[in-house]
Amino acid sequence: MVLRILTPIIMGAALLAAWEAWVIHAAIPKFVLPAPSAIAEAMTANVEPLMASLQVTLKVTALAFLSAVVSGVTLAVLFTRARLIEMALYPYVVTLQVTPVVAIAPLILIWVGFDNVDRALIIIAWIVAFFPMLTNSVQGLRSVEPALHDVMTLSGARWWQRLWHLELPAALPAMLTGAKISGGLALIGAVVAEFVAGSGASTGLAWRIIEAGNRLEIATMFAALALLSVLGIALFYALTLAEWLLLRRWHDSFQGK
Amino acid sequence: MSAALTLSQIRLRYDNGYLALDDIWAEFESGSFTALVGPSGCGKSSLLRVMAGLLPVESGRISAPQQKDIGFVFQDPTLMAWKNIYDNVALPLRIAGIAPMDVAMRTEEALALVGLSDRFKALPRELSGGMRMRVSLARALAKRPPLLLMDEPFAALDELTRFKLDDDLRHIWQQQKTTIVFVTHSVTEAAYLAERAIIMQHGHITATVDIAQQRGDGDFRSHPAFHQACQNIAAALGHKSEVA
Repeated sequence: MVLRILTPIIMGAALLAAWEAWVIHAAIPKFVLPAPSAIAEAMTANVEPLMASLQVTLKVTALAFLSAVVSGVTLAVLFTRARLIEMALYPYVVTLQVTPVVAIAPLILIWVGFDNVDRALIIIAWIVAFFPMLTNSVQGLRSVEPALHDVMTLSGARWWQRLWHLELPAALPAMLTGAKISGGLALIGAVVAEFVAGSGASTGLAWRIIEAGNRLEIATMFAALALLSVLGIALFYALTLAEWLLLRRWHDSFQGK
Repeated sequence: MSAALTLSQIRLRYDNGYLALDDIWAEFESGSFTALVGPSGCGKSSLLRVMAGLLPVESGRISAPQQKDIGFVFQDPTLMAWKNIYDNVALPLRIAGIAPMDVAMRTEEALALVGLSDRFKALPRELSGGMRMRVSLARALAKRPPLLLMDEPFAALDELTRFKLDDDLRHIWQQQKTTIVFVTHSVTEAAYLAERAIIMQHGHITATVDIAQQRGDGDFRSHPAFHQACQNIAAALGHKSEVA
């Protein structure tokens, strides 16, 4: 366990040291590749705007992710309740998924308005994050052991009792898998949305990267990039933790660990 | 004796057109223990699901208790992995709208009946296969069903566990006098458990064999009546060579 934590830390420190040494030794200009020490410096020098940007990106990501979870599960429940709804809607959901979001983003910005950029960003990130949540939930809801459905039938269960006591818990593992994918996609969607929204309108981390790039402040770019990675990692581990808390007692995937 | 369950001229066809059951007539007296015996694919499990109203028939008449008054034990324990065994047994009662006090009483009673009073909080995965099957049996018994349908419930268990559960089931039946229909492909299990064996082949009832209930004091499995019953059932299934 100690080894599992220590090994990547030592590995990372060694890589950073090698990077630092190489940049100094080869005298690489800092507008091409800054040394880790320069990046740390840029981070401390810009800590306030960077943290403000982190908050913006975090807010967009979190809201997009929550919308994806709520809408994905809700639509999955509707799909599994009524075949007709699924037949009617599924092709359009797929269309929304396969159309590159960068291509739709300008439209959304125009529709939602440049006065509500945050809302537009959330919608764009939601489009990216929504699909895996839906498909995993549908698959989870459908994978209930048929005999357990019979048990509910013989108890005279109403549809909502069946949903609450049987289908949702049975689908939880698949839903959490979907949530892990959706969480990462929500962050990607937020970054893409900021890139599309472009100058002035957005103040998230992606915008900091564009801005710093334009000014050739490569160290600040790296600092913003590092924060994005940290955000992604934090999101992933938060969802892994949620999975562990919810499933560890009963689900097969946690047995023997 | 009144009939707990009557089947008249049942015909069942699967979606693919296969005629699974045809011209089934049967009557099950209140408090009787019937085994439904036949080879794999003969339609015995389908017939059981028809009795429970879980499979719609093409034609025929079924006079059975309401679904909520039917206990059903499946081939697998079919427990909810995320609920402890107490909640697994109690859930159908709660859904049926039974008062919380009664739910608690019936659940505890049913779990005591199958010998699991000390494992209320255990999750299904923490139990052995035999214990899980007991929970499944308790879930069916907790409904205090006038009709208990069992679909090869002990087939996946080792023989010693199965003998023990067979014994327990006989005792429970004698105490509760509930009507039981028990599907099995095992001639010996049918002969040991039931008062009557209905033989099924290719979707038809081909014979009915009565089993003597003068069981003696010792193990019924070593009683001549048991061997006679086995021979009678085997003969009805068409195993002429086994008939003395």
